[in-house]
Amino acid sequence: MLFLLPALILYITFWILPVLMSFYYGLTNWRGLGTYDFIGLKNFEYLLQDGTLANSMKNTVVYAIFVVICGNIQSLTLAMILNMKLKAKGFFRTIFYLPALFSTIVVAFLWSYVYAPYYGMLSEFLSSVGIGLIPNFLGNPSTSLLATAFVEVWKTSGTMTIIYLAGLQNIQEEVLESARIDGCNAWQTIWHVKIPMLSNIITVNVMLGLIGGFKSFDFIFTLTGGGPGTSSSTLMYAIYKMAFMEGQYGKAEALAAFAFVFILAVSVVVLTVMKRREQEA
Amino acid sequence: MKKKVIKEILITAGIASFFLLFLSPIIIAVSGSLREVKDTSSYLKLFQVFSLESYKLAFSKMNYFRSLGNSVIITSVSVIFLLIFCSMAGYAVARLKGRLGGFFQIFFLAGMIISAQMSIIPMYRIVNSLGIGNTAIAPIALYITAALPFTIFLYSNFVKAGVPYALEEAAKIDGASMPYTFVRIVLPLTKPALVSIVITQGVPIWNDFFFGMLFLSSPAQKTLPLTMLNFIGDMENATQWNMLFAACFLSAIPILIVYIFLQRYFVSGLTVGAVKG
Repeated sequence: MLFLLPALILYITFWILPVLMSFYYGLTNWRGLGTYDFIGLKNFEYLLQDGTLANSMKNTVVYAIFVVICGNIQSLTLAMILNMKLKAKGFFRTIFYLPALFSTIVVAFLWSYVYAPYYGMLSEFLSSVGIGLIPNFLGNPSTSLLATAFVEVWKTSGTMTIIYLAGLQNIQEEVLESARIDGCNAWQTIWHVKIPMLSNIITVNVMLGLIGGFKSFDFIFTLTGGGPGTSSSTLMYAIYKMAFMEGQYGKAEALAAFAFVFILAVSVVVLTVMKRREQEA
Repeated sequence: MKKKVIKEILITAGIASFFLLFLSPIIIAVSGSLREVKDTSSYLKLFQVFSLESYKLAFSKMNYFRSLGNSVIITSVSVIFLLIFCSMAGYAVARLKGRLGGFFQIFFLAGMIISAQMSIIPMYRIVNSLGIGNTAIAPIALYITAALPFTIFLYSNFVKAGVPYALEEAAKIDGASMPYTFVRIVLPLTKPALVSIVITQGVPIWNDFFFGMLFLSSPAQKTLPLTMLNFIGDMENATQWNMLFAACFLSAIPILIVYIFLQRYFVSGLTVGAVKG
């Protein structure tokens, strides 16, 4: 029991207590200085009417779904490639993980160059193949959110790939052999043998992507600042902005309380559904 | 036989070109970082010049050795204490009898859905009221705390699956105390889990800028990612990019070196929790 003490003290002081306090502040009109009053659910009313809640919710969900779908497709494909019996396999297995090693801030620099209008990589590439338009992926409200989510996929796919690769290597050779004898071609083996056998790994990666997507902050902060306007403002970024740049602590913490309940609910539901499907498979 | 060789070459070439595309931002940035500071020709002309001018400029602007030292200290202190605290707690959770063990496992695991941005203001106030604001202790304490939910889960599962309880009982009968049993028997048996914790938590701590941005304000305390944050205004300026690319690699080089030497631990470390869990 004593063994628990150091971890428990840190965890309660810096992780649980702040969340409980933020629930409390969410019911007040505190602005950081001086006294504050209880205003009940007024903050929530404001967030609803103002559109902040709906907008940042929508952006967060779109971002998370994009990260989950693209991230899993990309990393499963990468894992299949890296699992092939090739002589250069060792080299490929070294380099695929590189993006995951860089700091989010460094990745943000690299990709803001890639997306930059005129001199950026995509711009130059498009104009060199003769497409004259100058795209501004981060500066355009209709593309900024997904362009940012794409960077998240690029950076996080390495870790997901390693997990898939380990799962693929756990599939016994005899299973694949008997599929071959039964006349499965390569595609059928992937669809009907490999993917079903990876179902618990898929659950792990979907949860990782989902939680990572819901908590997304770094790339929004560094690449778009939630903009243009609020077109790429996610829950975490909206909370941070309200608290630190606008000093609206009460409203920020009301949004935080909402985000907490929302993420908890979605995680529980998704985990239950996926566990059930896993057992059926 | 010959047909097989050709097929392998074709597949390898296909995969290589995929990776070339996948890693193109990194490749272009390496090439850009090796250009002279004022060179603003197209970045797609790769590796035309070799100059360390941009690196020299970035090196002095970042105050490189000081930031590197800060990063090393903050990351290693965080990881060492994390290892101690999470293994102790994880062991306790795994061995607590009855419902209590299950309760603590869920209690810690639930922390995974919390994100620092959610409760940033209360966190800030608690840190300041403890008198550790503006010291390296604040980010270190928060790095450890933020990593506890996942690492305790991983460690306790590993103990349950990989450490035979009979071994501990035998030690107890021989008169060994619980701390002695933990240090001499349990810890050595859980080495893979400990390696996994160093890799999965050490890299994000090394790379993080958020807690540093909140709690470290003096330039003398800045870590490598924080010095990068200073350059964020320069992103708008097309003439600064060669220096920015150099700064990117200066801050990534230490971890790239670690990765090259410890690559096999990265692979085993990242899969310990996931494949079993």
